[in-house]
Amino acid sequence: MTMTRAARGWMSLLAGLVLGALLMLVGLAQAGRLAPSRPEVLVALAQTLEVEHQRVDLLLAQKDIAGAIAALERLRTTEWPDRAVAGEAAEQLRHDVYGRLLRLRLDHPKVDPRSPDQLAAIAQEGLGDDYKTLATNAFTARLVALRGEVSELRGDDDAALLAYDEALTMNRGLLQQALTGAAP
Amino acid sequence: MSPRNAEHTPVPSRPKSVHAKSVLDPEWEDALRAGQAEDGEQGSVDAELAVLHLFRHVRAVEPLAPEALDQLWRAQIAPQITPVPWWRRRWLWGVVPVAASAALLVVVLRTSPDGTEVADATAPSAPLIAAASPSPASALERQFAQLEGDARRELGGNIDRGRGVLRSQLLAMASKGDTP
Repeated sequence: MTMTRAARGWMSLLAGLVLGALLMLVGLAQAGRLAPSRPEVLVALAQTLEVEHQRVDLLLAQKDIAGAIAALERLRTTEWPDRAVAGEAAEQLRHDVYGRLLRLRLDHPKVDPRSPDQLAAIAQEGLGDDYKTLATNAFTARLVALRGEVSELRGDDDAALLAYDEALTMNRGLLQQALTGAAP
Repeated sequence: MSPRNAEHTPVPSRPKSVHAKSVLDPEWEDALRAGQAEDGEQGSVDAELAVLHLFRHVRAVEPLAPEALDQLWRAQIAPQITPVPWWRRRWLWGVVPVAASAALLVVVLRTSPDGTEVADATAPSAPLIAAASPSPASALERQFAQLEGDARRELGGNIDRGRGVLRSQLLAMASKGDTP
């Protein structure tokens, strides 16, 4: 049975529309613009973290490093929502918290000390397994760079180099985006 | 006591003393010395003797023997007018230790306890050197500091969009009469 020329034309148009819609959805998802399935989770998480970050700021202003680290450690026990539930923004918020915690731990190794292996575990826990599928952002790039610092502490120079290179590539992309956005 | 008029060469043309105790009479010196001895060697008659010698010199020039002149030059004049080499000057003994201590202090203060040199904020080359060779970790941390502001704004925008979706969902539920 042969298709008429008109039917073939309609089929091509339909396939093109479906493909275009799929590409648009993938593009939106990659850009992190796809709305979370449960926005209330993201909003609640963001509000909680905002308060906690302010508390950490206050503790740091009072030079209470141990208190700030303890507050961020408590946030580690938070049940972090999945990307499917709260969107990419929730993962970026998690990377921000873990980045801040690792930065403090690396800068103040004598406060509630952790071994390099334990620090590496914190970095891995914060990044998760699928951080590479996230849209490029500064918080993930920082956490990757901190993982490189931890690898350096462990004496694993190859892993450190890889992490630094990965973070640098992310930052380069972000700078490129910023420059493109800033261009008239 | 030094011999009287040892440095003087006798003047052959000097006339014999016709006036006793004249100002040119060498006995003046003996009299002055004797008076000083009687007073228990107190005070000095050098000024008076100098005047006497001046008068004698005015009356008739009293040349010094070459040996006496040399001795006078070597013993009294030369040490006073010869310039002292710079390394033998007295003030150097005070200045050199002070300068060395100050230099040592500068070196010690500019070096932190762990041996790394403290960056001098007043030296313009220090930040340039630090920026020229940063460690990867510090360079990435600086990049994060530059990108952080925009990243937080973008993240806040995403959260606001979620808040907007939540608000619209709640409004839709409220308009339907449902409870969340």
